[in-house]
Amino acid sequence: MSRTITIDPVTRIEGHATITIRLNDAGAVADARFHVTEFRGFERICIGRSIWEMPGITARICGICPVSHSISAARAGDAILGVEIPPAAVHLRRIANLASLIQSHALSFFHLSAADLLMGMDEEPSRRNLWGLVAHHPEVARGGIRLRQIGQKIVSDVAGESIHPSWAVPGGVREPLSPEGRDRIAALLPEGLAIVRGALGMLDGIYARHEAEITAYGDFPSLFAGLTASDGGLEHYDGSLRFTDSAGVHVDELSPEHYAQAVTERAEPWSYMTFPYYHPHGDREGGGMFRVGPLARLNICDRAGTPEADRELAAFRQVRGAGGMVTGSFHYHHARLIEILHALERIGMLLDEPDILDRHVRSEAGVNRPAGVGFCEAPRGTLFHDYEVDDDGIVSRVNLLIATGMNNLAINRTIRQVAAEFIRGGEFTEGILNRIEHGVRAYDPCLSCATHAYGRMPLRVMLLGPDGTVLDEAKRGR
Amino acid sequence: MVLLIGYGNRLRRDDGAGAVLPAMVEGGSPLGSVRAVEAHQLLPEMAEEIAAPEVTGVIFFDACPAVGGMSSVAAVSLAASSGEGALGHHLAPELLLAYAGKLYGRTPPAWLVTVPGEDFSHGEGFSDRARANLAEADHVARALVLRLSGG
Repeated sequence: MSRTITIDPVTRIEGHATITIRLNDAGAVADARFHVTEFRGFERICIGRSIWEMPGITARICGICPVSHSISAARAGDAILGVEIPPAAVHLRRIANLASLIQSHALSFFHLSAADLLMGMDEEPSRRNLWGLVAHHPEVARGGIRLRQIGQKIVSDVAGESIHPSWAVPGGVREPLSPEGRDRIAALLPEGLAIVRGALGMLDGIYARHEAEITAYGDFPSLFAGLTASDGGLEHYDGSLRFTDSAGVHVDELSPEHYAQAVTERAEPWSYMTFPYYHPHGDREGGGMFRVGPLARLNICDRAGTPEADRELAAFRQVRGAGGMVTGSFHYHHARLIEILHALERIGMLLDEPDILDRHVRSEAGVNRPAGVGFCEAPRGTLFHDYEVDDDGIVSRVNLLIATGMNNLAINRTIRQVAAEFIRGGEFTEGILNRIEHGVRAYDPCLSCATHAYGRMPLRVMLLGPDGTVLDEAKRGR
Repeated sequence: MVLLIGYGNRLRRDDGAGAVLPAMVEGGSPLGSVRAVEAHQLLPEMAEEIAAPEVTGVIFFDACPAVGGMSSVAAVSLAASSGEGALGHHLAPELLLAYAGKLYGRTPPAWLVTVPGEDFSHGEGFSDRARANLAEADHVARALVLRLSGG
């Protein structure tokens, strides 16, 4: 008799989700689904608000990546005003976005995933958590806290506050950077670089401990998507939207404003999160399915564009991808560390720009266009804000295309792969539950953003028979 | 120096009561006797600040729904604990104290002051009940500051 396993709630991700795993008559995995079960509806909340308010409102979508939402909203506003913003404002938005990436990646790697990676998937849940990490690997926990602190301090120095800053505005930013702020940021960078180098040095041990997981955690062909600079370099703010396949072929490259020509969102009745796909390849896994975020960004770019990150990227491709594309989602963890390294280096370069302290940081204009698309690379992947407005700049339509949503097909495929690899004869153990959770956590999903879910992110897993009967069930968190 | 950490969302009306209190208490306190920190939520990096040698005590401020026995301001002493809250993006003050002790070797005495409110809808400004409780919480906190300063 076939059965279904349900994991509910999934822990150490932001939001609320359930996983169901359906077994066939032979006890093998027939299907697996990642259900996002909460809803916030931010797109509707924004209707009727002014474009000038949108950076401040949409920053409230998420406490982890408010800067990226704020910047994408401001960029949509730039497009509606039809202005080119001052160079100093571009530099400052870039710095804030990169600093936000540092603190978010540090949270993901050091706080949410390091306990699994360092203590093993079969460790007791009472030990395999952040507190266990603090107790047994305090130096790693301290490093993670310090990296987060560095990212937050940089955001705060640039944008005035670290969480939900309403500093980016249509036309630029509200405040320039002070000389003291520049010096404070510059002084933080060497310590951040030392911490991330140390973390990169831990990876060989982690990989040796997880040989079974590496090939089972979302290792399959797919497209990878994200922004790339005009010279093909790693990019987090501007450039073109590139789609690259698992063979390394760039199948498409278009202006990010035209994202809707490439991406279609499909809805399913069993989840509040949509299933975006690259529609020229069709709505099929392995066809239109694409991944975004740190792994995708490192796969699609031609180079990182900063010295240390370029060396790490070359080694990453050589060791994790046998010289080519890196197709396993377990490697998101490694990719996050390389991106932190790159972000710290890039911030140092931006601070040296001759106009970084320029007082002119905002271009003034009225509403000149009826619509605009704003975008940037948020920590979890490309983020689009797409607005239509009336003559007064009052928003009449909003579409937010969020990184976690774009990874939805791959997350579902990963759960199916992990479940198929580790569930034997219908047996459902604690270790399997841990591995399924970690397979999801590799993407560092933020369901608060992707579904605009309200609340925390517990997980529920259910094991169902072929007739839909609940045969087993496990819950985590609140 | 007493560290005042208030958290909450100022755009969810009474939920912001905890967030505004550190600045209220700091006003009128002797220079250098307190340090005010406002946050949307508690963050792991606050552990280092809590464990700093100059911190003689910590007061956390949070809002809560005014239901059942929670209709008036409460002040409770906190102990470091590694219990609930270790698994997500949310931190309890007890866990933050535990981090301070484990990671930075020091856990100062700490209290939690909770401010009951009744309107947690979208918007700014406080309900009458929360406003009254804010004045009471300010009074309670000033007494705690004296106690934690050794004064």
